[in-house]
Amino acid sequence: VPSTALRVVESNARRYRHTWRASVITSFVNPVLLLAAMGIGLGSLVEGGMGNGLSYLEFLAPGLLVATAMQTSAGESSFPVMAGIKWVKSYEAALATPVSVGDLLAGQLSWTMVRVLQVSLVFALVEVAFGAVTPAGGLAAILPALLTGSAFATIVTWLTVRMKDDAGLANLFRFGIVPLFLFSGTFFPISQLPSWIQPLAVLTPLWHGVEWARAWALGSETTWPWWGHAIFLVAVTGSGWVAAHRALTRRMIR
Amino acid sequence: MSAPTLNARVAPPALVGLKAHRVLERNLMVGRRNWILVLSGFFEPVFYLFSIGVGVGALVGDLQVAGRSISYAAFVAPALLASSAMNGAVFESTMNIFFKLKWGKVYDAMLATPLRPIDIAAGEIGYSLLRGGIYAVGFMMVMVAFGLAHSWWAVMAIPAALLIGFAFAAVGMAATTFMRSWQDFDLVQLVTLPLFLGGGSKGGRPPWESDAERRRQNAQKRGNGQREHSTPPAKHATHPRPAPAGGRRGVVPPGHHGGGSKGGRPPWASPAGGRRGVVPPSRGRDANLHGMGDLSLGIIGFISHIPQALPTALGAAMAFRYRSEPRVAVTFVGDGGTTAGPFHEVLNMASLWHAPLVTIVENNRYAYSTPLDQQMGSADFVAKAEANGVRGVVVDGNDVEAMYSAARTAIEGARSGAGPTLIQADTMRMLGHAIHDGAEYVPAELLTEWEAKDPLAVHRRRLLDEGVATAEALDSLDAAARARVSEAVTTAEAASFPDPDTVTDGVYA
Repeated sequence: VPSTALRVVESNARRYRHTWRASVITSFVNPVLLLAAMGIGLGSLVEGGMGNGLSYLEFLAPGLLVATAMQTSAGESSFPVMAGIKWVKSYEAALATPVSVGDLLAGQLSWTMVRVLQVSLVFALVEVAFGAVTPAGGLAAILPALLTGSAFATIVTWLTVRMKDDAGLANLFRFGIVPLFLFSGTFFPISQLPSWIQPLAVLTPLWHGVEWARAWALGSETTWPWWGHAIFLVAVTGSGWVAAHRALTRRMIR
Repeated sequence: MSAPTLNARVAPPALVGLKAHRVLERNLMVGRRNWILVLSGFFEPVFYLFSIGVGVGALVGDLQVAGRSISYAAFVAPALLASSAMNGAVFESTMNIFFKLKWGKVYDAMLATPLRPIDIAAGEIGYSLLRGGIYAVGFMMVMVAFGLAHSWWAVMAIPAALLIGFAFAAVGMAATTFMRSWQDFDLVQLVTLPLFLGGGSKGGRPPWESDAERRRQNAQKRGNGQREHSTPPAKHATHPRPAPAGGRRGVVPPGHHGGGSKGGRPPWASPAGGRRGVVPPSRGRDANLHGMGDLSLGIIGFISHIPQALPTALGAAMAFRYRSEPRVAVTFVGDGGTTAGPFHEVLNMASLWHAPLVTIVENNRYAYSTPLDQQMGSADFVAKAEANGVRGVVVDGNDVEAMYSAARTAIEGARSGAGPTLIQADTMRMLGHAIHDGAEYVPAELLTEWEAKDPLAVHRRRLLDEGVATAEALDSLDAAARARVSEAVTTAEAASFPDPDTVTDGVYA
């Protein structure tokens, strides 16, 4: 990462210093409540568990961690990016300095990864406290979470840069991120989806992250080897980067 | 005491001429512009119903409730209806109200009319209930369509949801009046999140969504200027008028323009050359030279307040330094421009930072109508440069070769790390300050004297005398230059006016 991109990370970090308290509380409280309500509460209704002696809580936890990584990443790559371009115009300011479009994207992506790592580590800690995974299992989900986060970071940044204003962002969350969260195998296996939708789920980065994390956290079997998921997520990250770079150059440099 | 006043004192205010419908009307008009977003709120509980109710429900199987066996989806659906009513009401009455109250100043505007706070409160809550009601009816239809409503009594869930919405909207609005900043909304989440997840629904929506909404609001609160500045499309063109002879830059003796355009003709100057068609550097924004820059040629648009061009050039020079680019920033300033503060500040910083900057002081004797001896106590610009630690040289600004070699030495020096140079180019302004200025205040004999020193004529004579070029070769060079200029004029005149919708493009503040 070039030093100019680190300046972009620094500016994000300085801004974060003003709001970190609330975000730390939420990053602890969210997994506690979600695991308690969905994993334990709803899980107690899932009689007989998920097969192979797996409880619903154990099934849910690794996927929920990766889904949280996606939410964090999409959040960091959408409204802050739009604000930088349009409302606060910090991108305009940054590009007037030696910071290039590539630096801006690299800095934004790095910062998003810092946030994803932070949220994922806290989530893993809570999972372990709930007895949903072993400590090693909790850590095993971090890498899939990071790669899922990077895939969503570049794609969501690209989409955001192409949008006129935040009306499109609200729809991106409503019709993109929320349905992915709900239907990409986090809460139930995609084999329960209608058969014509299943191939679509396989195309979503979240499904790959969830499958991979679950495989590593629980040692369960999957249809894809872990490196297959990794290659898919890296490929999505890379193409998102190229598209975002082109779109941001077009929008900011005239 | 008049009757209305007495009436207002004895009757509860809400009952006297309530105008809440005006607030409702306003919200509906705003919502009409973004109705897709308003309607899309319907999908959220439906997505949850299918994921948690149907998807996870399949893992759960049927439940025994009140002695009957029902599916988990049927069990959870009414709860999703209620919790989405709560979420919608809380969001509407906290985030949105706070934004309108504090940042949008919507209520300040409303209260300047006959509307009162009670009208606003009732109108906002009414709007929130209206939206919630539409979502609830839609959700109920989905429940019926998928056989999740087991009796006609299910319809009663709609008023129940509205009642929940009303309660949360009212409390939320009251709480919002105590909020100081967006950070306080995390407290709201700490209250509502356990309610979603623990309220018996076993499947409330996750809190991140409201996170996203908060970010949206945060971003909105920071940005009042909602202006879009996109790249102007290629069709934008300049005003169809001939290139003016005036304008400050227009009257610089040609010999001063040592650099010229680097890579042949710029793309916008040629009718056939530009792959994007005609894109004049001004984008049709100014009849004069103001703002005409083309970064692809390394030219930054000229700033009308000329002393301000100096800090801009210093900034460019420092950018080259940070990026380790072997480039040098070159800028002009007139004698008048040196009397402003930035001239001295920039010389000082350029010297301190050893910036790759070449400043050419175009000493042309007049600052608009003010002659040199009435503008400044000392016209020794080199002394002013040296006082700041910047190397200074004086050049005959009408001597093309002297100008070229001074510029070359300064630029190569700056490129190789020798720091900034100031070149004092002595010359004469032969026309007015701009096309509107006839320059009658300039003594005729002064103009006659300098006309004899016309750099092009002098240089032509020198080239001929020294046998460097033939008259024919120079004539054809002249003709080519004239042809190129008239070609550019034709192109500019043929270009259409820019689209009025783009008037704010490139406006930053």
